[in-house]
Amino acid sequence: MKKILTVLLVLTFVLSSFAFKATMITDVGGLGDKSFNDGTWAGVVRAREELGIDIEIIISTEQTDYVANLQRAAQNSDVVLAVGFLMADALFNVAPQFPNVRFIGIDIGPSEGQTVPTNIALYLFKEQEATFFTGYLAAATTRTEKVGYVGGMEIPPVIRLEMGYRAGVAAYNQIHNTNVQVLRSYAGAFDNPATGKRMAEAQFNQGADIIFHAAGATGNGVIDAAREKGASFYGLSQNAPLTAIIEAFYKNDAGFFAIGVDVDQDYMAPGYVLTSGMKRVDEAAFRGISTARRARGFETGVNILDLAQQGVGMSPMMYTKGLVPNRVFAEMEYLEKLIVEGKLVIPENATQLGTFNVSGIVFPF
Amino acid sequence: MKKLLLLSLLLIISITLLSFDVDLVKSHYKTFINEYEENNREEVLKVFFDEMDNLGLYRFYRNKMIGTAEFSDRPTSIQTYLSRIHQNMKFKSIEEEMAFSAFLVYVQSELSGTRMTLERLRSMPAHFTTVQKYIQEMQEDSLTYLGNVIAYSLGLVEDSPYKDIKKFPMNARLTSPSWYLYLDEPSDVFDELIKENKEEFEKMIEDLSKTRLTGSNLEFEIDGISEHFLTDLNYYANLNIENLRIFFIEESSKKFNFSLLRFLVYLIAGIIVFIFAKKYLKFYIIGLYGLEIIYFLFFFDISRDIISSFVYGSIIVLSVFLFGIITLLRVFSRNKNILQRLSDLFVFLGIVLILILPTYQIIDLTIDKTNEFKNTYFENQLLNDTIIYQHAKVNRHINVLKSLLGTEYSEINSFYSARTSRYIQDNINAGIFDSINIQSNNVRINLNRDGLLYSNVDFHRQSLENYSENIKRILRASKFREGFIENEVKDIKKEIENIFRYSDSDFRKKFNAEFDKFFAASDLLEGYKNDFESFKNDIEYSEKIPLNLYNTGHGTKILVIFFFSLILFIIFENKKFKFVTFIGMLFASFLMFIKPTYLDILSEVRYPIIYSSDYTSSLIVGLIMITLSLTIYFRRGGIRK
Repeated sequence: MKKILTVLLVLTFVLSSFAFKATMITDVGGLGDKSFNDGTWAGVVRAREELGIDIEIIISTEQTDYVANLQRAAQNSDVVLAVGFLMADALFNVAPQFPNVRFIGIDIGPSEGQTVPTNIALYLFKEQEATFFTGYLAAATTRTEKVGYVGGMEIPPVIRLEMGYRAGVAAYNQIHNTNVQVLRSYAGAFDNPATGKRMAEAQFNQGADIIFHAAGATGNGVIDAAREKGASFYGLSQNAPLTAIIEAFYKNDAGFFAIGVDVDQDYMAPGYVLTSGMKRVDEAAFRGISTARRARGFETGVNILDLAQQGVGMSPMMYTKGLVPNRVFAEMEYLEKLIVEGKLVIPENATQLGTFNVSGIVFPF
Repeated sequence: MKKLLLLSLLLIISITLLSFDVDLVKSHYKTFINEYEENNREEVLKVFFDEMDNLGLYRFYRNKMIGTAEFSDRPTSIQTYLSRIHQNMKFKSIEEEMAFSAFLVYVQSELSGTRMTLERLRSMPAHFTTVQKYIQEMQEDSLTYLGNVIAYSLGLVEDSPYKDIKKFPMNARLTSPSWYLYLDEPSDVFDELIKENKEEFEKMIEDLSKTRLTGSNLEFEIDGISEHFLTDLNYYANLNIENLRIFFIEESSKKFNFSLLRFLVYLIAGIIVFIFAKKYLKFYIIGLYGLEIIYFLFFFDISRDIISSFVYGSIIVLSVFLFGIITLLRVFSRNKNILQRLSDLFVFLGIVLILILPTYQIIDLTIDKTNEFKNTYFENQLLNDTIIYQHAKVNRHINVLKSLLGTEYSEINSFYSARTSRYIQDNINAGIFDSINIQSNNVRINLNRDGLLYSNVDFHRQSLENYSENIKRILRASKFREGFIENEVKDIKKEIENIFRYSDSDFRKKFNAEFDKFFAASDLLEGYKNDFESFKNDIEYSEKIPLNLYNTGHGTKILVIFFFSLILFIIFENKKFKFVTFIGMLFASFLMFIKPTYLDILSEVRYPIIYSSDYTSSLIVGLIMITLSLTIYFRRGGIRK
């Protein structure tokens, strides 16, 4: 009897000393989208490097996989990361069934009146605060007075990305008395680069010279289209060095660009991706895992990451900073200050965008 | 032996720390179920029953005002509403609260006529929040207690509930010192746990003191030591909860669903008759038909007997639909005389009228007469659904309208501020405009004569063409948008009309307060304010609420008996059988003239039933049913064959 009890105690100790394990469930975009899923996974990998935890990833190929994948992950993990708005229902159904597992929802919010179980921490972003600047920058950089937008699916976070972008263009128009127009289209999917490319090409043909995508892996097609269109316009090969691309831009005083989303996508086509509107999904994932790992301090409920918390922002523009006049950056810095101070509120829906008015802003320089 | 003692100690601690009496929870749970089954509305479940009535009323008003459709991508389930009742109740003890949270799952299962499951129990917000709250409190308490002792031993805090521990001072700081200060009275059970493991406990603290950890990393390690000694405690606490859940489910499944048993009896009897007494098969069918009518009359509970509802619902709906279509086609078929055509047309119209004519007019459930509904959570929920929530139809239409008006505003704004000013600027740059003087009532453009000469004609043409193109474009877009704006205004009015027809002055006032917020938030809607105001003022309040047969339990029974008889009448060729089913149709028709004392109204499937005692019922539907029965009998049954 004594031996059995000793073995049981040792077993309990051994089991309890196993490494903490985090499992991420991708949405249908899957890993390799160079966007949302990859960004979150980067945060998970960082957690492995810095916190010494075990990690695993489960790829969802269909929306119907979500529940089964979450259940599978919950059965052998300490913390499960659900990525993407479309996984919301599945997350809220599965989490209460596994009260001893902690769940992190990236870009997932409760529906109205819904109770959030205490084992879920949700991270949402004020995406519009990031894309406001991509819109402003696009309006300041366009030579055709037409910029484009390609969205994945019309779901709340993507709509917020779009609204921020259009608000940025509207702000530039109002402040500078210009008339930059936005062409917009939705691909209806996050995993279809071919459609993204086709839509981008159509917008370039309609006169747009800069296109922002908020379409996950579909947006990779938009970046491809910008590279092809830009290289062909400059008369350069698609592998031309960055210096040649910059020289060609100044020589022609025009070019074709894409704007990335979620993570820094500038590297995907240096010189052709003007900037990226980033939401720090990596930071949210890392932060979620760090707190879930602790006995206390798990950020249960809804956490909204904004510009002030550096939860959203623009990429550092490693390859294209030289294409934009310093005055534009100064203006954006001033606008950022107003947002952080709460003096400028960026619209998150069409109604707010309709009444968005910044014509009264005067730069102190 | 020492290990055995340790395990026993952990078990005792977990039970003690759970801070609730498991037997008492079970006792409360049984009481709730008994009181619910006995419909005892005056004792422990008084508040619950009142809230359930309000829940029924809420769905009833909601369906009349905005329909049954949910416009959210994630619709609210009944679990959310039942959990809201839990939130609004005051409990005398954690045992009562825990039992009630599980009882709500029993109620949910009862309302949907299904069995209670572990999955449903775990996903009931009232239940999981109650359980998680107490488990969390227990964990917080134990972590703070042991954490305080460890921090005291490390010299990071000055006080501790247990001080008989070696000191291993370290030069570090805590990020969240409040997590390591236990402010309640010292606990014997924790002290005992420390004493039992003192050697190992002190060794782990000593090891930690030798590190250079500080801040949150140090806290992580302190909690890690605490957790090491508390792992089994958590395990036992969860085990207790799981055992309790199994009890909840077992207790709920004691009731047997006799309505299902009848199908088995029919099946066995049918097989016996078919094998051994085939010539009595018609009597078996007539007997089965009679038994089903008796079942429907006296035992059928539409909200709980999901199987019967599904079986009859699917069979009758499909059959009546097909019969109706065939009858309609016969109206236009060849070789029919006018009388046959007219009788077929009457049969078709009769079926349609039975289904669409309002049969009952409810007087005592209009919103002005249900005072108990006023100022409750569910009245507020009704307000959310009708206007406050973003997916509420009125809210969505107003937002679309605002968006259209906003687009119109910014387009016009952009035309004047950007395109017109650019036109002027271009003319200035081209040396045509010299200067522009604007005074209060006078705008004067000073022109350069040279710029107006024919030598500049290309510029003039291009400039005017661009400007006129801009004007045309903005006019085209504005006219196009006008249609959408008008449609949105119409849709808003249509929605408000439906809502106001069933809203008393009090609810209208609350609705208007929310409606006015849209106007206060934006001056874009200002132009429509008076129009909406006068429209709202003209909507008459309905003193009675019309209901169709199928909206009530009584009416549904009549419908099922009538159409069940009708279908069997058509299927079976035997004259005697046709006569029996014809009597069945007449019987159902005559039931229409009997007015029950209480009319059971289905607020919505899986939601509580509400009752009306003051209502009127129309005789027209009953008369149509009688005439229809006679027409069908003489047209397709008795005389002809």
